Amino acid sequence: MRISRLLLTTTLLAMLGSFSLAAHAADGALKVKSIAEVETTLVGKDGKKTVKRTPPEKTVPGSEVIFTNTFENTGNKTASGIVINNPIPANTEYRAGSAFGKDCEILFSADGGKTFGAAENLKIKGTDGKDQTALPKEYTHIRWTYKGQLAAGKSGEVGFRAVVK
Amino acid sequence: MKNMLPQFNFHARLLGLCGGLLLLVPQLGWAVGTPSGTTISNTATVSYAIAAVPQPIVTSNAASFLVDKKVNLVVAEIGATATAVNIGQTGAVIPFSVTNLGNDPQGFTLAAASATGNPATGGVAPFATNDFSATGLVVYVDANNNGVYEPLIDTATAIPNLAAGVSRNVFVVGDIPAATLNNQQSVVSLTATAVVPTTMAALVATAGADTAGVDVVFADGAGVAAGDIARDAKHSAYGAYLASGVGLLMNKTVLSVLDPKGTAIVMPGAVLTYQIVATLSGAGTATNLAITDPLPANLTYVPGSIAVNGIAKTDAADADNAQFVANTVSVSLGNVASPANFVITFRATIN
Repeated sequence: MRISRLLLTTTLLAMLGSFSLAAHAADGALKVKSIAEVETTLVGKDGKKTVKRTPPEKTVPGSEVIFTNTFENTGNKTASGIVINNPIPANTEYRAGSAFGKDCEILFSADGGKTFGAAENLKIKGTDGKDQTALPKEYTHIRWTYKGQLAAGKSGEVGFRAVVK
Repeated sequence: MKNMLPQFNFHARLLGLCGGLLLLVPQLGWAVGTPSGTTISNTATVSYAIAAVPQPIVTSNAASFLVDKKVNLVVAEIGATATAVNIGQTGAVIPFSVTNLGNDPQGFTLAAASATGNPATGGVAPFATNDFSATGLVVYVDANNNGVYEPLIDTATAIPNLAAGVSRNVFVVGDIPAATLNNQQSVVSLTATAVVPTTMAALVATAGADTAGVDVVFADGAGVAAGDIARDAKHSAYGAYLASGVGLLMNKTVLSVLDPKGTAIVMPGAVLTYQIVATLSGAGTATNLAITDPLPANLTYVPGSIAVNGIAKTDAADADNAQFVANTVSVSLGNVASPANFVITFRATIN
């Protein structure tokens, strides 16, 4: 099951890759940048803990990675109807409750992005064919719908955490 | 994209192809981690409108990183109970399992050692007390992983290559000294060390900062063996031999000496009274227990002197269980339930 999912998701990524090439040709006013980071907790001599974010270091199965997408209106006109769509990367599992995004409605998909719903309402077909609540690790996509408009020069940030499978 | 149908088909095909392989490796209990060297990549897309006019979808860069090599393993004694052994038994077996919890295939070297004193850490019951040391400890790998030690098949002493997420049975094989007492326990530790597959070269954790390539990350926990700290590519667990069954202790003494002058001087003509005490300990039944004592050449048996537990016996090989035949005192006790105690006395004259 896992292997098959991996293969399918790889195909999915490959298809997305070809999409992105096409999209880059028509550069819009909005730019989006994605980064991956890990958190390390440092304990100082005084015992105080500080959390540091770095590019993924020594990332192994079980490591938690933070993906952050920064979107910026680089044009000179206000943008509206902003929707950010992010497939959960292959070989990772969404960490429950980790999606963040100021002034955004956050919805999830567990069927490869066909349908979206709030985390608590998300259903998936079980092996018995009946609908059951999707587990966070079964999420395939996250979608942020930005409430309001993004003026020229402004930016926003959305993201989530996922665990390497 | 990820609907159930293609998954199911693929799975069915996988089963068909790998049926034989799955039979060979029946213990696929652990989730297999993403192999090292896999690139994990995140890409977001944004759709938006300017003045209510939908704009082309914008795609982010791919934020990506490599999955590093996770080295992790766990050693466990199978059954969490001391292995019952007989006193004096050779080739006594304690079963363990070694599980590769990393994300890549790994080799494993194996070493068994007797605990020193009572285990301080990890010495939870039933492995808390250490009364004696089993000897000649060797570790053998269960070649067909059937959980049964087969000396002719299970001859390898290391695991050259164990797939990620897979367990392999191994056996600690040792000898129980004859001087062991019933209910004494010998605690042994088994330590497995993850190594490079096949070459069995030592693994080295990548020191310092992350590198662009695949880093080696030790993720194992501390084990029970001395010096087995966390993140050292080793893990260890205790097992134990528990001496049980029937133990037989024999003690022969000269109970008294009576010389011809009526004193107790050992001299020709003096009569020695011998006492043999046979003590059965532990649980079980000793079958066809016979105690024989050939007399040395310089002694002459005193006819009719055999007594068992204070009851006089005849010398003939007859219905009573004691006899003196071929210059040998012998007592046939038959099947005896342990614990039991027998006192045999007889007399002999010094020539």
